[in-house]
Amino acid sequence: MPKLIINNKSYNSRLIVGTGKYKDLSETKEAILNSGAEMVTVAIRRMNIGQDKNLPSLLDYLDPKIFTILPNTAGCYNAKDAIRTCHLAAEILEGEKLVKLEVLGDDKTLYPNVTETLKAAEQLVKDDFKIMVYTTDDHIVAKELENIGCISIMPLASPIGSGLGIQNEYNLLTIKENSNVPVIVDAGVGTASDASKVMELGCDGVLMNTAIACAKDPLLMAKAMKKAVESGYDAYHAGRIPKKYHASASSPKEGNVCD
Amino acid sequence: MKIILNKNIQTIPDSSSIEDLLCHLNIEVKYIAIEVNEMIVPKSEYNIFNLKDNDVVEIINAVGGG
Repeated sequence: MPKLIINNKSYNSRLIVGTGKYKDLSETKEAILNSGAEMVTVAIRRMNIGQDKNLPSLLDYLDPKIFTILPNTAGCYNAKDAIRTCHLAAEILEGEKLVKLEVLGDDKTLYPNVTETLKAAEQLVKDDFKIMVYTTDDHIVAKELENIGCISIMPLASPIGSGLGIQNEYNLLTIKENSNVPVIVDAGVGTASDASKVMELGCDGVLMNTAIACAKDPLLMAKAMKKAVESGYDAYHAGRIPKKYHASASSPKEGNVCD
Repeated sequence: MKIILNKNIQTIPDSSSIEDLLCHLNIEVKYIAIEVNEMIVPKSEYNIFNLKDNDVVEIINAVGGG
């Protein structure tokens, strides 16, 4: 499988995973290792003051020298908050400016607020951030974000954490068809076949969190997702057979002993 | 003097620097960001940046998320 290039760095894995919703940090790390992911998303939040200094933090478990840490602006509902969060993330990560821009519209659907996302992207590009952007499955908006300078377009398959899988596969196809930057489907994956399907559409990668973290067995689901992404990628490049209405025998007609 | 630290009122000695505050709170300067009145203070300035009464201070870090 050719490597995925993001921000001049190449990745063997086309699966990006979130670090939320796990039982504890040890399970988080084990699931990520099983998934084979080399890039992980994190949230930027107020520190829990008063916690034991010796208690490990997320980045003690996921060393930024080993994993690419992708800070996410999740929880931001306007451009101003998202921009502020990105600058905080860069300060936390010693000046690293790769971010996942996610500006949400409402609590119930967690659907992207496209207007605020565009506004934030414009400013963040000026501030020299490398933006992987969570957006709707609208190819017009995707192109605008690319034109602004986002380095990866991350359309949703369905709402965050819903597990509904791909709802509009032709929309994703159109985004991929028109895009000159990696298209990484983010949100909505429920199980391994959803991840395979994303890759079979020709997308460059998949980002997921809930599908692994909230599975009955997260460690096993992480392994399943790794294989699903790889096999989906291979299947797309192998080229599937066309669908036919009638059957087509696999065994030769000649030499049938019953003739 | 009093500051607002991560949304809570905190009493600290007058003219404490950020470095003093972190020492007082037993927080290691590693993978954190600090804002004072919505302006980020770079880590290189923690020892020279003195806090004032009523400053709004945020200590931010990375946590699990999607």
